[in-house]
Amino acid sequence: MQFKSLKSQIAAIFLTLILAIQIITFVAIKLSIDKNARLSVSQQLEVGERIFTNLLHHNRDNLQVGAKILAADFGFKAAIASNDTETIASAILNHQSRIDADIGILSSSFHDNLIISEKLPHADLSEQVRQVISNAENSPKKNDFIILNNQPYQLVAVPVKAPLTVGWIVMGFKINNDLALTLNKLSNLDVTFISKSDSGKWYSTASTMSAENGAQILKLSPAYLTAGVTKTEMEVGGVDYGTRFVSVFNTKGQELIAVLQRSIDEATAPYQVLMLNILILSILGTLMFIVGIMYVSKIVTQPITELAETAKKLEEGDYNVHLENHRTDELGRLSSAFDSMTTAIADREKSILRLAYWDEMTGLPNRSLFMRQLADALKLSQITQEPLSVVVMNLDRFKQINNILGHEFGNKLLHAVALKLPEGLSKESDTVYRFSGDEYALLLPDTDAHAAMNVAKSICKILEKPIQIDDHYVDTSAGIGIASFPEHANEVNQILSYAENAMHISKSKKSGPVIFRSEFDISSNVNLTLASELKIAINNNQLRLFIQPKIDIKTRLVSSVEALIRWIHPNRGMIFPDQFIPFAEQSGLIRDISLWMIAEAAKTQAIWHMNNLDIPIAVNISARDLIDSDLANKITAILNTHQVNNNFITLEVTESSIMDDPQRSKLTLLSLANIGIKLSIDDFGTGYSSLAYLKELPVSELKIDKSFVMHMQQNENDRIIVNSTIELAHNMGLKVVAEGIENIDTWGLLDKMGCDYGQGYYMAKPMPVSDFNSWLKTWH
Amino acid sequence: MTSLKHYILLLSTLFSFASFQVNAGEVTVTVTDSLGAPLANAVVYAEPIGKTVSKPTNSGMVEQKNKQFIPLVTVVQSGSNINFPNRDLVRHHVYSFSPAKTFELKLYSGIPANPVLFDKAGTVVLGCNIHDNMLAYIHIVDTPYFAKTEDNGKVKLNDLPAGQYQLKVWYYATTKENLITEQNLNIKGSESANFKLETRTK
Repeated sequence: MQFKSLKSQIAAIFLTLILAIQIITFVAIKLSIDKNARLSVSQQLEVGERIFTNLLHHNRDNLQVGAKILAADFGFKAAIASNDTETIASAILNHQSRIDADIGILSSSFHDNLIISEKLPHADLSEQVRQVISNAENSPKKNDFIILNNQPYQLVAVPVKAPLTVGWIVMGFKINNDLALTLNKLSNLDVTFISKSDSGKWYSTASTMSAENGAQILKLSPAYLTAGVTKTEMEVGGVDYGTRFVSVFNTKGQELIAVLQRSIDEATAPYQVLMLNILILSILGTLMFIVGIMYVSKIVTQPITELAETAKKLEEGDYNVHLENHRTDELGRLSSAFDSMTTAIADREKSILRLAYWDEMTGLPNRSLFMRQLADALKLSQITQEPLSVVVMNLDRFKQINNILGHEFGNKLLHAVALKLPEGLSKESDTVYRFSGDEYALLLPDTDAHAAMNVAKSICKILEKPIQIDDHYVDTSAGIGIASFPEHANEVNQILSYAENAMHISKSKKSGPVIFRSEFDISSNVNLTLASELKIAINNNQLRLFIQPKIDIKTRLVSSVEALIRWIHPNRGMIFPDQFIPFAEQSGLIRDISLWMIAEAAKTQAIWHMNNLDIPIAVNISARDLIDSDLANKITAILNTHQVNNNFITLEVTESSIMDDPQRSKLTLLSLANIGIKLSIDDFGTGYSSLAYLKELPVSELKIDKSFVMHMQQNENDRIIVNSTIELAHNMGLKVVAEGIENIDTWGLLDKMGCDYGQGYYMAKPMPVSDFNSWLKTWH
Repeated sequence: MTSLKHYILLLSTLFSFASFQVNAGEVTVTVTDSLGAPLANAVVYAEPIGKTVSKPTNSGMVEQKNKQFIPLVTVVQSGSNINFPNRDLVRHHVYSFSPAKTFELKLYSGIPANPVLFDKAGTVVLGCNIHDNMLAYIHIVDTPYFAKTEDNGKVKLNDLPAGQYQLKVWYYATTKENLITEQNLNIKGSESANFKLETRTK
C-alpha cells in the first residue's frame, strides 16, 4: 500500500495492529465463552443427573416409608391373616393416597394371592410383582421400575412382617410429567422420559418440552442410545441442546431413559450481554486509540512536515527561513542540524553565485548575470511597456596592447576601464557588466535607444581621456553597439546579438556608437532579399571594381592597387561591402565574388598591360576561399584566360580568416605561393594570430590596421604598436603597409618609422578603375 | 439286598420286643445342617404309632425380657397353656396370626392373668406389635415326647415306652418354611437318630 504521508502510515500500521488485537481478543473471548457455556451446560447436566438420581431415591424413600407404615399396621396384618381382601385393598388405597402413589399391591404369601388397590390396565402382574419382591429381598436399597402398558413406574416392595414375612406391599409412582416438572424445577433442565418395553419400540413418556420437541427427541434419541452415547448436543426445534442420556433402568428389554437437556443458547445468553459490552468497549477503545495515534503521529510528523516545507523553500532559493526549535529530542536535533545546514548552504551559494555571476578581476557582474538580469528586466519591461536598452562595447586594439605592453598591463587597463565606465551612466538602475576579454555591456532599463546613445556618447568621452597605468597613459576607444526593446527586439538573445551586431559595425567603421539597424542583421528579411539579389547582381554585372592605390612611402610611387568592391543596386544605389560581404560570407556567395574580383582584376591587368601600365592588383579573399584547396588552380585558370602574369595579381587575407582554420589555410596559402602569387596579411593587429605563426606562412607583406594608424599622432601606444609592428615585420623580412593614412603628419611619422607602403585618403580614396589613369596623372 | 433288609427289619423287631420287655427306652437325636454343623433349638419329638398319648400336665412360659422373647423356641404338647410374663418395664403387645393359634395380648405389663391355651398342633409365630424385632416360635406337638436340641445339636428323649414312633424334627429356619422332617423310630432301648436339615443362612 502506498501512503502519502508518514502520519497516515503510522496510523495505518497501529490501527491494523489494534484492530487485529481486538478481533483476536474478541474471537478468543467468544470461543472461550462458547467453550465455557458448553462446559457449564455439561456440568449442569451432570448435576441434573445427580439431582435426578437423588429425586428417584427420594421417591423410593417416600414409597418405602408409605409402604412400611402400612406394613407395620397391626390391623392390616390382621386383615392379611384373615385374608380379608376388601379390607386389605382399601387399606392399601388409603396409604397409597397418603403419599400420592400411583400403584399399590399386596402380595400375600399367607394366602399366596395378589391384592391390588386399583384396577390396573395390565391383566397379570404376578410375574412382575414377584420379580420386584425378589429384587427388594436381594437389595432393598435399589430403585426398581417396571413398565406397564408403556407406562413406567418406580416401585418399592416392602415386606409385611407378623413378625415373619407374611406378604409384600408393592407401591409405585408413575414416571410422568409431574416427575419431569419436579426435576425441571430442581435442576432447571428440560427433562424428557422415553421408554421401551418388550416390543422394542420407544415411547415418549413425559416431557417438559412442547409435544413437538418431545416427539423430535423421541425420534433422535434411539440412534445415540444404540451408539452408546451418553453426552451429546442435539438440535431440537432449531435450538442446540446440551443433552445427557440417563439410563433409569434397563432390564429384560425394558428400558427407561431420562433425557436431560439444556439449551446452549440459553447458557450463552448472559454472555451475549458481556460480549456486547466487550464489543462496545473495543469500539470505544479503538476510537480512543485512533485519536491517540493521530495525536502521536502528528507530534512526530509535524516537525518533519515543517522541515519538508523549509526544504521546499530552500529549493526555491529562499534561505531566509528559520526553524523554531524548542525540542530536545531527535527531531529537535534534526531541526537544528537542518537550520545550520541552511546557513551553510546560503553561504556557499553566495560564494558560488559570486563565482558564477561576478568577474573576479574587475569586480563587475559577468555575462551570465547580464543574461539573467536582462531576462528579468525584459520581463518587467514587457509588463510596464517601458523601453529597455542594451549597450555592448568592445575596446579597440586591446589585443595589441596586451601583446605589446603585457598581460598584466592589459588586465590593469580592463580594471581601470571597469572603474571608469559607471561614471557614464545616467540612472541608478543602469548596470555595467564585463562580458569577456575587452568586451563590456550596459543594461539600461527604462531607456530608449536615443537615451542609450547619450549614455554611449558620454562613455566615449570618458574613454577619450587618457588612462594612466603605471607610467603609461593609454588612450582607449571602443566600438559601441546599442539595441533596444521594443524598438529592435523583444527577446533576450536577439536584443544582445543586435547590440553586438551594432558594436561590430561601430568597430569596423570607427564611427563611434551605433544604434542597431535592421540591415545589420543579415538574417533579417531585408538582408535575405539582398542576399538573393546579390546572386543576380554577380551575373547581371551590378558589381563594380574599385581600386585604392598603395604608395611607396620612400619613392612616392604607386607600388600596387587594392581591389575593392561596390554594388550598384538598381533601386538602392551604391551599396558598400560592409552591408553585403558579411552575408555573402555566410551564404558562401563570397567565393563567387572572390573569383569575380580576381577575374575583374585580371581583365583590368590585361588592359593595363596593353597600355604599358604594370601595377599589381591586390584582391581580398575570404576565409571561405582559404579552405578551397583548388583555389590556386582556379586562379591560374583565370589568369591564363586573360594572359596575365601571376606577378600582377596579389592576394590579401585577413588575419582572422586565416585563424578560422589555420591548417587548411596554410596549405592553400602554400599552393598559392607555389604558383608565384604574393600574399598580404590584411587588418593586422585586430586578430589573435602571433607573428611567430605568421612566420611559417608564405607571406610577403603585412597591412597594419587603420585603427592603429588613424590615431597614432595623438596616441603614444598606437605609435608604439605601429613602430614595433614595422620593426618586427622587417626583422622577419616582410614588407609593411600602413592603412588609414589621412594626413601628411601620419605619412611623415610612418616615413620615419621605415614603413614601406602607405594607403589612405591622404593619397587616394577608393575609385572606379576608369578614374585611375586621371588620378595617376594628378599624383605624379 | 432285599433279603438283607428284611433280615434287619426282623432283627430290629426282635429287639423292640426285648426293650418293651424292659418297658422303657430312650433316643438320642443329633440335628445338623447340611454341612454337619449342629443346630440348636431344633424341636425333636416322637409320636407313638397306634397309641394314644396322655394329656399334657405341664404348662409353658414365654417371657419377654430385654425386648426379647425368651426362649426363642418353645415346644409344648397340644392342650398346654403358655403364659407370657413381661419382665420388661415397657409394655408389650404379643400377638400371633398363625393358624395354629391366633391371639393377641394387648399392651400389658407384668404377668397376664390368663395363660393362652394352645390346643392345636402346629407352629405359632409370636410377635410384638410394639417391637418389630421381637420374635419367638411355639411349636405345638401331639405327643408328650419332645425336646429341643442343645447347642451341640443333640437331644435325648427319655422314658419312651418301647414301641414304634414317628420321630419328627422341626426347625424354625429350614429352607422350606415349617418343614417337618420325620423318620420311623423303634424304641427298644437306647436308640439314636441323625437329622440333616436344609437351613436358611442367617
